[in-house]
Amino acid sequence: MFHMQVDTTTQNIEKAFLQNNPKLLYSLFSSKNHISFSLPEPISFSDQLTDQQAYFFFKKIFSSFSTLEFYSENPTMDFEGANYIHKARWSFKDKKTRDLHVFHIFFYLVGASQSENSSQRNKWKITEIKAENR
Amino acid sequence: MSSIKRLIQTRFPLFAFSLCLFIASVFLILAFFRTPLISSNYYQKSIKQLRAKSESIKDEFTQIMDEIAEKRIAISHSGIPSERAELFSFMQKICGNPQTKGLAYFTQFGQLVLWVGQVIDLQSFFNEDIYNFTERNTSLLVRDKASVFIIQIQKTNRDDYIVFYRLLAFLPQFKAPYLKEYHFISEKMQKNCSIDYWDFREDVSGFDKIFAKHKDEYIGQPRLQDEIQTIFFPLRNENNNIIATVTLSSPSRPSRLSQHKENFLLGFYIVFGISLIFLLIHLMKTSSQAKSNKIWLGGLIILTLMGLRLLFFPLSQLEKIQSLSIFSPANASFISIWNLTKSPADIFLSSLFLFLILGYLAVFFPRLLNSNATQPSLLKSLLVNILFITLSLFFMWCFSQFLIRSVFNSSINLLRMSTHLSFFLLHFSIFLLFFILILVCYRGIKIAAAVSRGIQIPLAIFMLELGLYFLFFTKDLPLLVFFLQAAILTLIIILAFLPKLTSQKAFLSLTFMLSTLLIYTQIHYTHSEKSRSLLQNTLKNTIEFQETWGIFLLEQSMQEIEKREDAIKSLLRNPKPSDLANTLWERTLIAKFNWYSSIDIFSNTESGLTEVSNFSLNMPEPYKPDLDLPLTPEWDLLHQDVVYLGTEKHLHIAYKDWMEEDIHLGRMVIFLLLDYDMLPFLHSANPYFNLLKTTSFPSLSQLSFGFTVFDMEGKLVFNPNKISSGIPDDLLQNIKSSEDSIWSTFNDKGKSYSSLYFLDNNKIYSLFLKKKSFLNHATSLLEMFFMYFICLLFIILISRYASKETQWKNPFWSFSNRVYIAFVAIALIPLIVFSFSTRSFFSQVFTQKITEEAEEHATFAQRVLEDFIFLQQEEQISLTIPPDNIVVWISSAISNDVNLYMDGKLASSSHREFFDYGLLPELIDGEIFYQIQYENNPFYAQSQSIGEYSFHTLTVPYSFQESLLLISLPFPLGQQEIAQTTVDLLEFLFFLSCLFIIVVLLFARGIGGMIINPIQKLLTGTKEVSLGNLEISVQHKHQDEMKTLIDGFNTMVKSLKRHQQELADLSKKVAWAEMARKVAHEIKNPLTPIQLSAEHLLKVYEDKRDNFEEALQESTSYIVSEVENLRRIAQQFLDTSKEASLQKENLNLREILQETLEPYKKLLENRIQFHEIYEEGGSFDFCGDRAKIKIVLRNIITNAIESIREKGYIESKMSSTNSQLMLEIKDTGIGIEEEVLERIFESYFSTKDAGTGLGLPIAKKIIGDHKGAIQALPNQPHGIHIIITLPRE
Repeated sequence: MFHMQVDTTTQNIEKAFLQNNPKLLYSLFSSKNHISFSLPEPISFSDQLTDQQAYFFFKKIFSSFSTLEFYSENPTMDFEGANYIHKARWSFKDKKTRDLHVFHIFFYLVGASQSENSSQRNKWKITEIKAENR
Repeated sequence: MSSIKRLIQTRFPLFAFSLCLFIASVFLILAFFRTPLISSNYYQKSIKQLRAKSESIKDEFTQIMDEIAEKRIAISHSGIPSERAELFSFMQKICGNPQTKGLAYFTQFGQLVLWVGQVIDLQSFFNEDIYNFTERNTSLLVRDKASVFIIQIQKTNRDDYIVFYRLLAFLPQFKAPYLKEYHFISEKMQKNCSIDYWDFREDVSGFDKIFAKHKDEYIGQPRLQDEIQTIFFPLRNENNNIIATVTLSSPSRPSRLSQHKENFLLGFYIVFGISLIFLLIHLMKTSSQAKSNKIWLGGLIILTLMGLRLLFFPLSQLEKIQSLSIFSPANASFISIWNLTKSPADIFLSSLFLFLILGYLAVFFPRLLNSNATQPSLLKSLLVNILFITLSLFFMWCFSQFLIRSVFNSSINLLRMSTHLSFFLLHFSIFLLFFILILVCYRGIKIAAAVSRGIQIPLAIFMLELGLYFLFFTKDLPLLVFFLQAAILTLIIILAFLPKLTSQKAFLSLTFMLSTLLIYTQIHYTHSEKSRSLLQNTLKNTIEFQETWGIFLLEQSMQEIEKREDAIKSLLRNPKPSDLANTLWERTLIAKFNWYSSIDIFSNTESGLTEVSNFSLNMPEPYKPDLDLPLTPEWDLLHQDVVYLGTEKHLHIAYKDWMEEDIHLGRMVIFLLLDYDMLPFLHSANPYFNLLKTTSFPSLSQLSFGFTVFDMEGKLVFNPNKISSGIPDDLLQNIKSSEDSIWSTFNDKGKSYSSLYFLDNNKIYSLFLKKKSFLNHATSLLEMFFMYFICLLFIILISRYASKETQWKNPFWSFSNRVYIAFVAIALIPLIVFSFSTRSFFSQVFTQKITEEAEEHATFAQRVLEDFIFLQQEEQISLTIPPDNIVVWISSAISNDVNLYMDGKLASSSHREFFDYGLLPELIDGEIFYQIQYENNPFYAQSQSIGEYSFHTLTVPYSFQESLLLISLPFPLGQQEIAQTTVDLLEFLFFLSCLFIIVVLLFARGIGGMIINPIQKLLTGTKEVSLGNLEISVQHKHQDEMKTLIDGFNTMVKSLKRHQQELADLSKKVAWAEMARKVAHEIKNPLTPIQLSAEHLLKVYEDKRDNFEEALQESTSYIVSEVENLRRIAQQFLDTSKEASLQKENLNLREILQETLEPYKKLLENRIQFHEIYEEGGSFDFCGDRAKIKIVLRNIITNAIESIREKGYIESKMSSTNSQLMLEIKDTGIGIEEEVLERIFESYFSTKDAGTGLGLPIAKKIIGDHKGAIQALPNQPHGIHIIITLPRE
């Protein structure tokens, strides 16, 4: 059950990045708690944001950078639990300079039962996003 | 020519609009069609630019070498002092900036004796061929771990050496926000520039060959059209040796094109925005000059304002604008219609334009908002009241939601005064929106008031709706917010329904104060909720998830290490000391996040597992437990708690035994430390911890919260905030029995805290918030009040300026204002000076306090060293410098890092890796060394920095055998404590200042009673006299100089009045005499011929002449003719007495009345209230003589003013029909008895002592000339009611 949901969530993350669509990501943020960010250059940002701030933050990122590749680097097949760290490889291009950047990006996902009520559409919510330059 | 100039002057906004539009079009065209122009010779231009940049870098490098050479030559000429103290101060003097420059004194045997600034030990180098380099006077590049220096060596006359250092680069291996790279070239030049530095001991012959072939400039040839252009060149020293190689890259063609496009688009948006502002000015001007309100013009203005707002959408997409922090959504943003609130700047712009649009509607469309004079039906009245009261409550709710969203989705604490521009933008937005809310509610309720017959029904509707609002819309709001909202709306209703309220100013002031209190309460409430939510949902998660992250990073690192299996096995097959552990660690994810960890590689030897390679980041050996682990060919994970010096350390351990077939080659163990100090929301007291922190949450610095960890017995385990309270037993039981977190309160050191307790991994965590005291609340509220008061003043000044009320242009125009400002300034200046000096005072006090603490720690460290050496002596083993392990032990005992230096060079450290990686220099600071070694100071405290991180060090000496051991302790600057205490004190000072200002203002008001009030009375009296009111008499009770002045004024007015009466009498007499003289003169002339004719006729009759008949005929003819002449003269007098004929034109009675009233309104605003009522939708156009009608109105209004003795009220009401206009003017003056009232239009009738009795008769005559009518009625309860009717034609 959890496995299926995590897969759906990670697919949604992938879709959001590939489509440069902050709205899809917004639906994965929890309105209850802040989301922690730690992103290196060229984005260079480290702080905590609300879901709405995070939405505009990603909107701004996607207006400057476009995703070239985004794929999961850790399989979720054997996953059981209420927390899950999703690791992905995100390569993106600066729209203006055309410089290419590659991040290892990590999403800390928390089962909705832990963070939200069960009526939430997405069962997993992103609570932390960290990245490091490859 | 002059006509064109005039045209430009009169139509300047339109002309400027057209010009800006043209320029904007040019920018737009360039933005989209510049591509071919740039592409044509892009690479040639790039090469040119790259060459220019390379020349700049070479120049900068040459300057550095020249600067050192100059110093060196200067020393060689002047010589150096022989005394050590003189030598040291001499070295300090010529060293320059110690952050990048250094100077060292070596003996001829290479022993470092003195040094200042950035220096490295060159002892090993001295053993090589130093003489060659000294003789050649060459600059050498020396690389020492993370630092790169250029050095020059000068031999002294004593055969010793002075070495000059200049830091060229600092390239730390670790990545952390504080550890930024440094290069000798400016940051701007570093863009697209890569420099490789070559130590003079390295072989660069390969580069020599390349550059010899390419004449020191290798240009990379791009293979594809869009590729970047590169240029590769060397930096050489005086001997032409390559010291560094530089690669410069030009931006790619698309990147340059994109940059150009952005620049042109930026130009386009800015100029287009300016053109819209000019268009707006033109439209406003046209609108104000238009005789009637034109809806299309208003619509156009609103559309232009909306266009200006929308223009910021594409503008904020540009990189230059986006990079401004006020456009950052991370500062504040929330979802709204059309994303109008996606950054602080957007929130502000949206509020501003909403304010401007509604403000414009309120100013230029008053008819849309004014009351309707006709009496509506009860149903209509009810509906209108329900509509506008509902709307007012709805707007109040909307504002409330706006505040909640703004506060919750903001990283800025709106209750803490900040210099951040976003802070002011958000507050100004809140103020503008609330201003609009009040304005719209007031206008709406005023419309409702106009259709209501009293206040009772609207009040009943309001109470009913308020009840519903309370039931359904205030669930998330505190009760106080609801009451304040209700109070503000009640005040608005009173103001709208009772316009004649004499204390309107007091009501408005009260509304303003309540509004500020409402905003403050709501912000405070939302901020508290947000803080609690942050602690409960976010920080709690961060703590709980730390372990998951640790395990995840460990698992990921295991996978990474597996990829280097060959290298590991190779080492284990041939075990020898290696830095493989370091290499492996750097590749792991643990390293990317600077996680405290260690990698140990053991080879399996006959004597068991022997360490061959090790790397640790903040994982000293004593932390690692002695493990008896079973053999495992696969990675195994385990968790272990280690207690070291009473402190529990949580370790995650991963290990694997490397096998080759069945042979056990060795083992690898990875230790991962879970330390509270690593939590990203904490600011560690340890400088070295902070230095490597990769993740931090800056927004949390806006939140005053603390963190403590307890064990299951409620004893403190981790206490960075130095709280002295434990957990009471009953609370402890509650926490243990509760599945969820618990909120509770505790008091510590006189302060109250609200704390969240929760259990995790057999520890009790406490996250706590300081509760605000009354003083804190009062200070924050006062801060907000003053800030909003300044906003209000600003808006009033701007609106007055825009409406051309010139007397408001300069706030210093008024004497009383100047007096008040002087009083406040006198009160504020010392406070401001005091406030500024507070921080430095606190900084000194705290530094002193922290230094004293560090001294205690250092003394402890000294004693431990003594014990260590004593034990060595006791055991009769050879004395050794305490190794790293002992230093780590001391460090753990005093909770402070410790470094030991022997003769100024690092001997052992609790953080060896910081020195191994070159983050810290292995030489102690030259100043410290000198002061302790040679000046025999018992200790020395100094401020130091690594990268961009600053901290203090305290160094104490310890004699060890023949050498001097220096114990150095790094400790934080205590910036947070200083900042917090400064904020506390400033808050207190601000509160005191506000109180002081209020006292000063009250005092100034008292002074006003003595100085300003008599002057204002005199001013009012002078104004009244200038308007012709000589009935005025200024009263002053005190017997002082002002009394003399006022008595003089009163006497002058009385004298003036007497003279005016005399003058009036004399004028009447003179006028009558003149009239009599003229009449006599004119009549006398015809009378003479009449008399002569009559006498002639009489004589002819008496003489009985024959020609009597002829004479009779002739004389009567003369007499008739002269009588006719007399009639003509009489007619001429009659005609002269009549006024000149009317100069009729199309007029607007409303405009004339407003023009007439305007000067009186300004001059008499303190005494008389003027109230104008114009019939809704009425047209007041008519045909008449402007000058004469103004005489009528002026005469009536002057009479009304003069009849009001003290304070009063003049109301003018205008209405119209198809054929005529009606103007009623009522005053609340002394009035006239009804029987006398009938005579007021008679000439020379006056009830005033100095009245001519001609004002109202003239008015009646002019109205009569216009075929109109005028009548006077008594006004109730007193005063006169004048009614004028005028036909339109």
